[in-house]
Amino acid sequence: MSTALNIKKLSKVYTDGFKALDRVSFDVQEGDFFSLLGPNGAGKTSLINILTQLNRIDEGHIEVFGLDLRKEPVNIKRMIGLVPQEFNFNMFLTVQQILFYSAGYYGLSPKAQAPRINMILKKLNLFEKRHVMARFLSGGMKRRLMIARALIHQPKILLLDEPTAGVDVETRQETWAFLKQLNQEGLTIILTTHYLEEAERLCNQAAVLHLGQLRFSGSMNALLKTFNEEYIQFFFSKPMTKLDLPKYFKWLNESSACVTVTQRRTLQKVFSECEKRSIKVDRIDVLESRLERTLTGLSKGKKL
Amino acid sequence: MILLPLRTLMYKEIYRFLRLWRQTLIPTVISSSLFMMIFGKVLGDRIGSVQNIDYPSFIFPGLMMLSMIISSFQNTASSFYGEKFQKSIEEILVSPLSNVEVIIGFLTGGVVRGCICGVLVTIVGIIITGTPIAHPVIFLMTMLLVTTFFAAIGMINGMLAKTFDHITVFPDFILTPLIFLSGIFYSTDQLPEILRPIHAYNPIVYFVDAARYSILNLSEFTPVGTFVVIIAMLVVVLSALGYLFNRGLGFRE
Repeated sequence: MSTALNIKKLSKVYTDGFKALDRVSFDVQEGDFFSLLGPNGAGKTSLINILTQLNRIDEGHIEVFGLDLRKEPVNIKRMIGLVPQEFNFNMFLTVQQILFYSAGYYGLSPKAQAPRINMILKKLNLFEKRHVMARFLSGGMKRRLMIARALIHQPKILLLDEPTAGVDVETRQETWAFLKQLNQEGLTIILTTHYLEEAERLCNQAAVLHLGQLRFSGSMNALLKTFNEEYIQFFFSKPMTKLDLPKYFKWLNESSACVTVTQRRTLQKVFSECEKRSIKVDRIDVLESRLERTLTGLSKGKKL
Repeated sequence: MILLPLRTLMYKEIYRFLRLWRQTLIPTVISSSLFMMIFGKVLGDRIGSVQNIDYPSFIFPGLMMLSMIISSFQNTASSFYGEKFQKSIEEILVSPLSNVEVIIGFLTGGVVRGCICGVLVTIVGIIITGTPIAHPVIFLMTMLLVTTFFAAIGMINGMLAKTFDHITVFPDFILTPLIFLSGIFYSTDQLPEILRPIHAYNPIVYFVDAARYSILNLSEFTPVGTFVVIIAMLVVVLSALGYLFNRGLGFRE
């Protein structure tokens, strides 16, 4: 398996002086489902924009399948498909026209265009809507159209910048299934997301950015192990006062309280303590996943 | 043979205004025709002839130029700003199209729309005034130079505009006054003495002069001198466009 993406000491400073990326280095292997995580302003979109050449590199080096971004920008553009955060197609064109133009920009011959467009539209359940103007599509359909457009030229890497932002649960599940299938077919996928469940469920590798610096790069499992905390709400069968509970419980009201479960203070230990104090627990809810906790921790200055 | 990516962009830009022909082609032709009918035919009889040419024929080249300037400018300004506003410009920027190809693609839309409007106004002008075209080759060359020049200015405007209002500021406050002060409706010798030197600094004067020469064989300057000035201005504007586009001013970062 070859290296799909090699980033070395990448830095980006915008004209207003904002440092979006600071000597970021990591690799993505061919076939990886890679997640770029980080709170808002971490530098994820700047990194995607540099890879797609919407922004320029200030310092550092990027190789895509062995090609230098500075020396072979056009060949690299052919290898990358982009699904940006916001809908960025002409809303007054039909689904078919949008894909037709995109295919043309990537140099797909007129003969090859129609079968490729039809195949992708069928795969993404948009074939019936091919003559409909983009502005009349539902939010989920627009998202699928963005993915269809990014795949039209058969890229080797698919970049997804928060692809399921603002879509309903059903569409999100559909998109996940489709992306998983694409990855299983061998496509390297790099995903930035705020839906952390998405990264946990889909990705095998991850990088965490914070304030433009790389805080972690490695497997998703390794990332989850580095910050093994969960914030859990306990619901009691009978009313409890603050004094009835162990000190580490954060009392919310007489029927519920919260506790942070760590590697030391496991869920089992918390339950044992409750049993000792005759506290009847009706049910529990995980308020924040480990990954959410990781990102919240990073934005509060915690270290990985 | 034009490369497929460029051909696609050119097709898209031409299709964009042809699809909306009622809004993009007809109004310019109607307004120019009305100018010719009312100023030329109705009021022209009172004005008489200018430089031994009847007034409707005298204003015909300038009105043809007016329609080409407005339509080529508007096409690229609104198309580029629209792409920027909808962020669909990103689709073009991440594709393998080079900067030169993107510029050519957008300019093509402006040039073709400007030329179609110019041809339509010319047909109406010939019907109304009965004036034939004196130098057809120079006429075509003038059309290409004018539409390319103003399509480039329109594209720069579209790039730098931050709101929809900004794409109307340049045509309303700069372009229209310059057009009306360029001698479309009058001859330089009718201007007050004090305004004549200033007149020569209005770039549109040279475009109107070129059109008047190609249609009426009438020139305020020497025809060669006029074309040298036009080509020099075109080189400056295209260089500025290339520089601004490479820097991504107004649409990158």
